[in-house]
Amino acid sequence: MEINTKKEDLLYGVQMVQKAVIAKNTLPILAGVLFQTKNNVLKIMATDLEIGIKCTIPVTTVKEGSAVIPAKYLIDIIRKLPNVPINIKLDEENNIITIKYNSSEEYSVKEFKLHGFKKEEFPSFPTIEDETEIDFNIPVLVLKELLREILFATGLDENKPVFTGVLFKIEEKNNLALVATDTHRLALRKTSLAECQLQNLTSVIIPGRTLKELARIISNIHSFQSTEDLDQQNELVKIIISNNQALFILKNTILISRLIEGNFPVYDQVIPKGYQSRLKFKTKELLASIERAALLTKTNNQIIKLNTKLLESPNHKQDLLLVTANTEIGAIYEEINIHLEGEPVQIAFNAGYLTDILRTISAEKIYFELSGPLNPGVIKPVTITDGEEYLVLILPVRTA
Amino acid sequence: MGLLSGRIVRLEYMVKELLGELEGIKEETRSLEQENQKLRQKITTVYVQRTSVNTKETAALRPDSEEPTLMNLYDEGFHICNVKFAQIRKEECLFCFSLLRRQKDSEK
Repeated sequence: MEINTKKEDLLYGVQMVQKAVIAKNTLPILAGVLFQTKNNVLKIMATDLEIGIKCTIPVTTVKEGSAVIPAKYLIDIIRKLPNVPINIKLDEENNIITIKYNSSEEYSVKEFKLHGFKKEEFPSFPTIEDETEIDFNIPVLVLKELLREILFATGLDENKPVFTGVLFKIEEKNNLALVATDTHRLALRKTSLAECQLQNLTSVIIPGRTLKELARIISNIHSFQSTEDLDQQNELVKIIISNNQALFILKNTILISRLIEGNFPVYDQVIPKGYQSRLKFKTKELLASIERAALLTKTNNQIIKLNTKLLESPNHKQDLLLVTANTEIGAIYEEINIHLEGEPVQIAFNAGYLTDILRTISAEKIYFELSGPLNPGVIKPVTITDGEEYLVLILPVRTA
Repeated sequence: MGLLSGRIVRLEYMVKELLGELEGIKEETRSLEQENQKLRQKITTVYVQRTSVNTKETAALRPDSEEPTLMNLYDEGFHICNVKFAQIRKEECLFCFSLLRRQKDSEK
């Protein structure tokens, strides 16, 4: 195998796949990335057997073939290379990869030599074959936003894998519902895939890690795109879901992942059907206030209290929300103008959870619907496009 | 030869993975045993409390008798929802609260 390439392309390709490489994997070959070149294209692949990422970059193929290179050293080396033409060549006999980086004006030799892995030990890249249940396209920017709005609510407890994933549910009328919960919070996002004409209704659980990786890949693609080919509005991601795998096909990158087995909990029973009090806020104002309050609650139970108060004067009435926290470090008291419908509120929340939620909401104003100090609060944007839905549930903290 | 060593490495990986899983199962079993023990004690206490009051009083208490028990279990730090039943609870749980709420609604 021998190729000529540029630092920028090489770094892009290797960075795209690097998160599928686990340094501490007990199977040594998985610490490598597979280079495969043919017809002036280099396919770079990595897998940890849970997810696999394949990225394609343009190169000049001098000699077709493949090699498996240790990922960690490769990335560090590429980062340190100068911006000159790069030649990568595999010595088949000794399994040594030589990376040359000489500019045409120089006569001195500059090269790295790396010991490669045995390419025949590299697992074959998983493919989805006949058992495809459903496939559809979704604009990249829409998917990126959906993931941002939902991923914070995934759990980290590997003993309960369903909570570490996101439910992808294709509903009637071509609606896609995404749901994530760690049992303390729940995020639900629905969007219309009106143009997709989906044949089957299905629901699968995709690992949160896969989707975080997908979000990273989308961001990487955009950060590397030059302004000329920056046509993000029309870019699509093709999603293919089979019985046990999900495949995401982007511009030059493919991500494949196992699905999480098991049943996602019945989430609609958890969502309150009504409310006793509805507070309307400016999202950023509440977020800033909670973030300030959270500074005092970092070291203990992170409780902040939210109480409503009516400010009355002969000519004017104004509902206020009092944001307070009182810890051994100190205390904070802030009043925020709100619009309150229904009963006054006295409630406490975990400041960290509340800031996580408010940071993901891009809407200017939100509703906070509450049904007493014990039942979950529902946060949703005041305005949202027809056919779309977004809500987040958060449980109050019970205080004595 | 290469293929054979590849298979051996893969086999070694699988064995290591299985051992890791076995350790996890052992740990889980220990924690389940502890939780079971606590739950048995709790159930025994509730049973003793109930049988000690006379039947008239019991009948009067019955509409609300289930909820406090579940609520007590929840308060003592256990999940009562079907998704994590009897597991130790470190924070509030949406699914436990949903269960308590549904139970309360059905009693009304």
